[in-house]
Amino acid sequence: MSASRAFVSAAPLDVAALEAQVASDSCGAVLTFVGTVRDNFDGRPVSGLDYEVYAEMAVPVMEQICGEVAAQWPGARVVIAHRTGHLDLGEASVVIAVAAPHRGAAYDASRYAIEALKDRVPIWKKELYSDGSTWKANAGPHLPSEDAP
Amino acid sequence: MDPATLIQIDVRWFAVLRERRGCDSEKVGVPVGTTVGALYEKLNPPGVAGRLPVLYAINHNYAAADSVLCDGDEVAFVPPLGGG
Repeated sequence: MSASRAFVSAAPLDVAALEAQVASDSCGAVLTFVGTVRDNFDGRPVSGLDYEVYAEMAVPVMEQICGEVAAQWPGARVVIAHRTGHLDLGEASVVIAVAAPHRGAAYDASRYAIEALKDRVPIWKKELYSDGSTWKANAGPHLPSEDAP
Repeated sequence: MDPATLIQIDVRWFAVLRERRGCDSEKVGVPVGTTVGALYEKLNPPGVAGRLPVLYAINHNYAAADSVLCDGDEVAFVPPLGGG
C-alpha cells in the first residue's frame, strides 16, 4: 500500500492499513469513511460499477483536499484513496481515513473531504445493470447550469 | 505570433464524452487566441447527442471557459463527476 496521502488504485483498498497510516500518538480520534458499491439505484438493481479516473489530475486534486483539511483542522492527518476500474457489489470505492486530536475535528474533516472529492475530483462512475449501463453523476452545485442539455 | 498560426492542443476525453467522441485523446490544431470554451464548441457542437454541462481543465487545473490556450496545453472536458 502506498504511503502517499492521496492515491488511486486498481487493487482493493486496505482500510486497516490506511487507518494505521493516519494514526498518531497526538490524535485521540481516528475516523474512517468507506464508500461502497450499493446493489441498487432508486430500486433498480445494480450489478457493479466501473470507475474511470483522470489520474494525472485526480491525484493532485485529492492531495489539494488533504492540504485543505490539514490547514483547516490543525493536527488532523488524512489519507484519501479511490478505486479505479471495475468494482463488484460491496467493494470499497473510496476510503477517507482521518486522525485528529479530538472527535469533532475528525467528523468535520471527514465530511469535508468526501464532499470536496465528489465535487472536484475528476472521477466518473458507470452503473452496470443486468440490462445495460449508465454514467451516473453526483448531485452537486458545481456544474454550470447555462450549458445544460 | 501570427493569428493564422496553429498551436497544438492535447485533448483528453472521459466517460460519456469519450464514448461519444470515440477516442480517449487526440491532438488538435487551433488558432492562437482560442479559448478552452471555444475549443469545446468546435469539437462538440450542439447536435443530436445533446449537450452536457462540462467543466474545463487545462494542464490538470480547472479553468474558466474564457481561458486562452497555449501551445502544448493538455485540455480535458470534464463531464458531470461520479467519484465517491
